[in-house]
Amino acid sequence: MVAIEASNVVKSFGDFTALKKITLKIRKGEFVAITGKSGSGKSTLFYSLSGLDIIDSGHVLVLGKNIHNLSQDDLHDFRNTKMGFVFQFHYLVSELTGLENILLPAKKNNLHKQKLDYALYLLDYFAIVHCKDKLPSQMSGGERQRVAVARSLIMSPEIIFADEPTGNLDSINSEIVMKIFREINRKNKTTVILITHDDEYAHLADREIRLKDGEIESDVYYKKM
Amino acid sequence: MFELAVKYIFSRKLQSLLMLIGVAFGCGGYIVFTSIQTGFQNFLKERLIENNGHITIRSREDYITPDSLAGVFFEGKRIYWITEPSGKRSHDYLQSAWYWQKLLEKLPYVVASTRRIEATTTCSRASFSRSISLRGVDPVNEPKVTNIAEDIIEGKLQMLSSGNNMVIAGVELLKFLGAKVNDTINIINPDGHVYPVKVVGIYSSGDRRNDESLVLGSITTVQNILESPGKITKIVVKTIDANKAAVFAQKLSQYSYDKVESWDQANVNFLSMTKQQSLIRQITMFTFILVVSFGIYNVLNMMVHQKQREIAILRSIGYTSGDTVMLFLLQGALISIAGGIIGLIIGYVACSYIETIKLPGRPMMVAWDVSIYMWGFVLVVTSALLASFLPAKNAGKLSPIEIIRRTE
Repeated sequence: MVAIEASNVVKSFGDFTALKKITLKIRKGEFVAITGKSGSGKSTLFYSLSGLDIIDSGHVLVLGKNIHNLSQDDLHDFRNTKMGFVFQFHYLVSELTGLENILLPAKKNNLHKQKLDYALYLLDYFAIVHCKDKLPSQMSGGERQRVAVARSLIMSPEIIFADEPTGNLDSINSEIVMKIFREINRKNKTTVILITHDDEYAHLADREIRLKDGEIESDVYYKKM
Repeated sequence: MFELAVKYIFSRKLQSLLMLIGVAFGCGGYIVFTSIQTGFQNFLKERLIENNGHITIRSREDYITPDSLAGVFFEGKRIYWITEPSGKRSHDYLQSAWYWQKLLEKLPYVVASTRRIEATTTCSRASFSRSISLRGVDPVNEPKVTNIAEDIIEGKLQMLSSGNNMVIAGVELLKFLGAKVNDTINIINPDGHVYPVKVVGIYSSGDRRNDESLVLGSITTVQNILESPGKITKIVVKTIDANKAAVFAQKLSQYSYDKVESWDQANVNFLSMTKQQSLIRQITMFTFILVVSFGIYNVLNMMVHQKQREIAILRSIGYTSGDTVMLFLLQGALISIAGGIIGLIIGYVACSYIETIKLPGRPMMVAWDVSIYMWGFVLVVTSALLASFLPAKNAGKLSPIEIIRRTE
């Protein structure tokens, strides 16, 4: 089963072409690390695959849907229910507690009451129960990022997009977060797309797609699917 | 979004408080200024109507031209005037007072009417004399049309009917003459004949001009003094609606050549002054509300700027552009409604206090009109909502990916 299928994806910024006819397939349940040097196009590919950014040409099918052809409302709904996002900067809402931040995606469709038990489970699972009623300003960097990961999981998405999730963390917290992604992938069979420039973390993935100058330089499987 | 909007408001207590104070004082200020001004205008309007009714009917005083006298002298002959006739036709008296009385009794928009005979004469006592406004009134019908009877502080209007040569005089006039009730004063008619009259009451309206010059008598007494038996100079009419007096006056004017004038037509200067006052108040309030709106706009705009990253994450986890607009619009709405309600209370409390302030001769006039409160609330809340809309719209336009790229 294919989770994401990109075909001849081109994305330019003025005269600069960030993605040059990228074609790839990511299967469901795969843990894929997209790596490359700064400016290689990995973040642009991340945004193009997740529908956060529009593409110039080509098409992207996510779970069988051409996300760039969806209406804005459908795309928002699709992102809310099928995708989870984790960014380098946690982007927690500073006025909401840990629990409220985790429930934020569920609140969009008034599912926060149904999802409360799951949110509490995630708090426990990620060892951040003590952050339940804390504001982000009262948490450490690692705790904030774990809350952000829990938030990305609250709607039980089929795909997690993580853009440099350890980029702003120390090594201990980075390892904790990476371990969480690995576990989510193994336990829930959730597809994880991880953008990283760290080779060590890339090797934790099943597959590493390395980009160079907007093209796929290499596509290596570390684990046979 | 409602819960998040509330959290945003409370997370920035000082900014929210400043917006709230701005809206509250905008609304309260509108109510106080408008209530005082409207109260004062209503007071002046009531005084005008109280004394002179809604409509007055009197003889028309036209300018005389050579054509006015065509056919009067030397019929069919050409006349060469050495000195052309000029000036105003002096019909002091209503020629058809009786006809008017009968007609007015039948009209559905007329509540009551009363006859008057008025003239400017002189009043004296001992060596003191003063020019006065002598007014002959019908003691039975006058109270149905005007509130003059309520301004009589000693004696009663009805006492004028108890005999001839009895008058009620203005309090300041009596002070000037050194007279009191039951004293006799002299009224000198335009022909110089002196008529002694007995003071049976004192009139005090608070209007110094009236209190210094008005002398009321029965119609018969005044007709005797003016040596004009059976003559009437004016009919004063009360209609079902003072605000429609001009329309009714127009209808009445079609019945006769006499001059029919509503209270507002007779006081054009007063009305233009009140309109000018209202315009100044509106401009002041508009400026004030504009400043409040700019304050709200700036605070929310700043908040949108500060919250860009959070907007980005909201959008990436499925919240739409409309949700983001709603988030900031709700903040503006909640603050403006809360501020508006506080403004209503401020306005009410301030007006209640202002009404207790005593001015010479009368208390401060404050209008208690629900529409003033409604307008104050609606005006300020709408302005605040409009001011919130632009920052909210800008928040909705933000592209999550651009924000994320900027912060990377």
